[in-house]
Amino acid sequence: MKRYIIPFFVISILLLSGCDNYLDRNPLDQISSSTFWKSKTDFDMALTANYGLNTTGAPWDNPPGGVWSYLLPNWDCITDNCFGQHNNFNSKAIASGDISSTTGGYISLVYSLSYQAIARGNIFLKELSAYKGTDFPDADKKRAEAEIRFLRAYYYFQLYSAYGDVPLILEPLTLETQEQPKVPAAQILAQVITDLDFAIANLNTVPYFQNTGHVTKSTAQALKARVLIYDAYGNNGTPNIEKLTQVRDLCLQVIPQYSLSPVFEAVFQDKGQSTNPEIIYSVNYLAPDNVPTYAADLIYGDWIVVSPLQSFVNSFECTDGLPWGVSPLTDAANPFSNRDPRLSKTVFVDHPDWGGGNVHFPTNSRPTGYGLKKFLCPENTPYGYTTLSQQNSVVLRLGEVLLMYAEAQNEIAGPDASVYKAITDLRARVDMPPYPAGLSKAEMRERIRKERRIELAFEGLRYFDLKRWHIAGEILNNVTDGMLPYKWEDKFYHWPLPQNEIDKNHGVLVQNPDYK
Amino acid sequence: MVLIDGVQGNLSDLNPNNIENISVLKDAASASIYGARAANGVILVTTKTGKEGKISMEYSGNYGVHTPTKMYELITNSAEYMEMFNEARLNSGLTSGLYSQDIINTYRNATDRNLYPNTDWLDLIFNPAPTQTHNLSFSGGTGGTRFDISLGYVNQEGIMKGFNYEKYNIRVNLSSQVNDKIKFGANFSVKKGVKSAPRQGAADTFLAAMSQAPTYSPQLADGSGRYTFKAYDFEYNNKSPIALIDNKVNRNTDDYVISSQGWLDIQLLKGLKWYTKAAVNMDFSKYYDFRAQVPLYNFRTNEFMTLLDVGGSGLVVQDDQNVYKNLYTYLNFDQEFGDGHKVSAQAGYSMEDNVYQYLNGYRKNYPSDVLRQLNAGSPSVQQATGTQNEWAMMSFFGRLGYNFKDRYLLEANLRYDGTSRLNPDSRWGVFPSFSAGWRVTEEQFVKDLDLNWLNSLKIRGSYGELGNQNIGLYPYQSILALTGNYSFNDSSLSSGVAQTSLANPNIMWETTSILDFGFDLTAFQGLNVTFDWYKKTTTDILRGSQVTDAVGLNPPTVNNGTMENSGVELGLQYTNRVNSGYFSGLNYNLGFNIDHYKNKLVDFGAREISGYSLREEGYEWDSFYMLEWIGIFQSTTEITNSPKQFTDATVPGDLKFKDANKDGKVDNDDRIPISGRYPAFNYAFNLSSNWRGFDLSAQFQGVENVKYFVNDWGTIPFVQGSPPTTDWRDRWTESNPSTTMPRMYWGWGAPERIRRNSSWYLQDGSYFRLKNLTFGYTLPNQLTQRAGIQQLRVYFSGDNLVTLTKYPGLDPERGGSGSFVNYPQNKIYSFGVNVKF
Repeated sequence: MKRYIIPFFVISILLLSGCDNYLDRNPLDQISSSTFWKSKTDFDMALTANYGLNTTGAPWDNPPGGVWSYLLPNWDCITDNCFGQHNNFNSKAIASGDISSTTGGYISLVYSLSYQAIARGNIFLKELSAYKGTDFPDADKKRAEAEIRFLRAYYYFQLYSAYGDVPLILEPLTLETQEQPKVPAAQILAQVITDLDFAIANLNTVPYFQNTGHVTKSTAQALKARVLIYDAYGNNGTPNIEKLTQVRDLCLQVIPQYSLSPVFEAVFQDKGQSTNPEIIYSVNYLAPDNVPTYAADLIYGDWIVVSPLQSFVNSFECTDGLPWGVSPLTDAANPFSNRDPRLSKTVFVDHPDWGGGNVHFPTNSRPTGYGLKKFLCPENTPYGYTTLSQQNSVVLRLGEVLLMYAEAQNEIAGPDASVYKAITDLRARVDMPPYPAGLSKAEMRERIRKERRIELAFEGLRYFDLKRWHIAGEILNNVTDGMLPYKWEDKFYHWPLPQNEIDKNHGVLVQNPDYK
Repeated sequence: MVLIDGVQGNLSDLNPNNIENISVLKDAASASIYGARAANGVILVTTKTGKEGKISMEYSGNYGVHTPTKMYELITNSAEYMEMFNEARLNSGLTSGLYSQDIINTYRNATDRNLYPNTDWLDLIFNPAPTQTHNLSFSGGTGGTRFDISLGYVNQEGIMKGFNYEKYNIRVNLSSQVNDKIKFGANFSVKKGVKSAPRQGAADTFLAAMSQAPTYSPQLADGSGRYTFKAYDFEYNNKSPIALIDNKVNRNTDDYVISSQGWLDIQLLKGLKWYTKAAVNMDFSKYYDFRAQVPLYNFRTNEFMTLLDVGGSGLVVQDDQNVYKNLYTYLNFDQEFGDGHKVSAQAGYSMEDNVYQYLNGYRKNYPSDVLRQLNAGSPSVQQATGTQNEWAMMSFFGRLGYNFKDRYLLEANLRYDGTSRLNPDSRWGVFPSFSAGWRVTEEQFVKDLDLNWLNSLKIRGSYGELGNQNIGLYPYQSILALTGNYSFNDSSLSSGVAQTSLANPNIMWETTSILDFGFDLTAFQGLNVTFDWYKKTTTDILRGSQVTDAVGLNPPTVNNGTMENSGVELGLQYTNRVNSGYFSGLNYNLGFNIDHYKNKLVDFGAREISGYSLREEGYEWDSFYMLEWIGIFQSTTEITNSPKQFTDATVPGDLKFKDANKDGKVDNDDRIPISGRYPAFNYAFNLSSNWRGFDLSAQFQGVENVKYFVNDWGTIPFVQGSPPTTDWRDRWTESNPSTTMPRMYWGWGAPERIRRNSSWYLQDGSYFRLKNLTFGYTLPNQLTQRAGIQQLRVYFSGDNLVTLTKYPGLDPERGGSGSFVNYPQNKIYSFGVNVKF
């Protein structure tokens, strides 16, 4: 017996200690960064993840999804357009002026989500500039860089318009460099313009609808116009002709490449979106695997996350182009008849009705009696937890560019024929008459502002329009049918930085003094 | 860490009847041999083995009834609920969606409570539930082979509706002596667990039940059996738990745990032993999660409203598999030299690894709720997911011991541990430990003192270091996630890949060193005193770093910080037997123990504030950090005369905070650390006695001065429509100027001024309770032996019978900071029998 034991012992020790790589265990469903960034295919996948960041999650996920895609309409809940009964992103506190560094919701999300997107872009740019592989021709690399810089500009613009002064991050940060001071808002804006100029110079020149879902030169031009027009009224509402001239010229380059969708709602409904010649940029969804966790149809058509206000409904003209109540066509008993057709395409009363018995009765309460119809798809009824909504979220479209053109040109040259034409084209598609001839510049300005509210309702632009025209106080402090008391203070033109960020930066990042 | 017969395991998989012995090791020197995962203490469990001799059979059975120890008191009167609902909404500036006075009056004056109910949803969900347990075991040994075989069965209905659990256990322990040199054995056990529960678990079901208005019943009043959504459109609620449970929207899990081990013990030479054990623990579980489509109706109008929120539709089936393997072997040497010099040595090696994998299948569309298998669904929308992950560890360990006449005891340990979780350059760590003991009463000069009362005194000290690496599976690796898929062309999906975390390849072992001094004393033949002073220092704490949002990535794991826990523990036990008088023959044992410790961060990087927690040098780890609540504003004058609070529109009835830095205003710079995250002390009493076949035991336990930050359901009224707790009857109003309960606001829609983290939300979690009381009787031997029974004992047992606490709502023993709601603790009355043949 004994003579076996010693060899057995020795052999087993050898067996046990023989496996050097026993401790080498690697993730089996994630990619090691040492094996990535080695081919053009890797860069393609990384580019995809920049487009697809935070698009599908629910509003209460961490991080939430859809803030700048399928939940864009929720932004209007902090304006005079609608009420958000579910308080998504803390819209109630913001609308009622209860804004502090710990408010949360949009006040902190815009910050964290934007930097998340910016970081993803910065990592891409760093790896791209280091990549030497021959499978990625320089022209393609430039184009990829331009797409990323377009997206980076988009998110810096969000930071700029929400907070003003914020840190400017253009390189991936590390633990050592994580504490960053803010820079003046003008420097953020300058970076946005630099990135967009690079994008304009290097993106494909075909229109968006011919570029298989990648942003294109005209997309960057349209965004640049949006950025410049946001900034074109200084800090008191006075138009800056130089900036508006740039806006006009950008619009003039974009407009010829696109045409208005003959059917208004086709821009927003799944069936009409593919290669729609009006869409300049949209965030895309695809059923069944890449859709919002809770369908847009469910959120708007069943939960009534957005409740249009009565005063918003009242702002739609009658078919003769006169205001409701003034027009002889006003029919108080049937308020939706003889109205701008966009009203019944944007808002439903009580429940969405697509005709032919295709109706859906919402389950949540309807605080104002109205719901948001603009982004619903008729083929998706009944709207429930099993609905898969794959309608794309339109971010930029010709309708907005025409309105920007008209607004800029009116400020530059007054209501000339080109201003009238842009507006007339936009209204003609919904069979609304042109504006009466002979409007003054100021009258035209008012009409265009109203037109934007109607045409671009719930596309997430109203809040920023009120801010850039510097009429937020005048409008929001006079909302009387808002379901909650509205309150605007001029310090809200720039939100406080999130308290968590102040805490984490140990004095390097300084709070906006208005909120100390 | 729990070691069952020397191998990592899970106490809940074990049949408690199989346990022969449990011991807890806290000091580093004794835990050291159990390695890297012992830093937070080791629980050693030994299962029963047979004894040489006659085969014995034992049966034990128990029947018990469970009820929650405590439950929230909610407003269940509909009219009162509606009035408070309106008040809260109006206070929050919400002027729509209110109950009209007509509705309130109708409910108040109704005689038909079928139509106008005052539904107590918690009462519907929580019911007393029976539990039964049966165990049968056989053990014995003959011809050098011993065995212990046992079977167990538990059937436990949940006190929360919809929860059911059945457990089957079988265990076979065998050992055999081949010859006088070689022994081998095998332990083998199988557990089957059958669990049925609402698919999102207990806390979710509980809060869903809280988030219902009393104004409607679970089913329509028309007797049709249809389920209710709401009574009024503007009400808020969560999904109906009754509809969920009645329609079996469950997650049903079958879980098989198979633990097997074999060991070999060879006496190589005199004093030299070679021991080897190999173990494989497998855990296979499978769940079915079917989301039935349940229509819900309006309670008032009986109209169809919506489908029950079951989180999508269809069936998810998931197979989980976990395989843990462990092999260790060591040489052990024991020898006595000369006059009382005992030397021992051990050297060994261990390797272990764990592989987890799952496979998940989903089909969305089912023609009916009857057939609940994947193939019964339509393949139109289906998904498959799955993955695998693993970790491994390898260790070398050694021990040297010296003992002189049991008077002086010395021991040294050394471990060399390697882990897959750290990068190859830093994955190995060296961890030494030392201990010394002096048995004072073995000294001649003490014996000479002839102290009759002092039976034994041992003074001991130890110091040891242990490593910890238990943070994630691949914390050092720079990896990219498959995320951010996107469809460019609206017809196909492109895969996305992105870096989502900041990587830190340079992490190394976290080290916990424990310094311990103490003594064990026996006196008066029955009094045992154990005292320990310890200081546990954790350095290079492995933790997720806090990173600024500007980084845009999830935080990396870093080694940073030193934390100290120092404390004392005192245990007293007194055992005695009454030898005369009426109670002659009474054996009794009284015990008391108390422990007190202080937690402190002695070294930390930049301070980290997250929500209401602070990590900063000089304070407790995760110390509470918030505004100090100092009262309730009673008048506008008081508001005007007090420091301005933020930019709030403060009104009477609001919380008043302390201007801690005295700068004349209250803002985030007035947040201060508040103690109470860790208890001042824990204590326990126990008592056991037996007399003429009767036995009685009682255990008391308590925790003093611990606080929990609780919010949401049960604290904030009307979160998802949930009724306020009854203490909101005392809320501040103009006619009831409360100084404890503020003005009532509307759930999550309440203004920031009431929702800010403040000490108003801190609750005292101290308690003292009778944890267990058991009273038993063993029938006289002469009586039972006639029936061939060696021993027959019957007993009654009660758990958590009495609790003294100020903690509101639920059970303080289950308390914790965060959401208030969790599965309640049970009060158990049970009756049982043990029979031994």
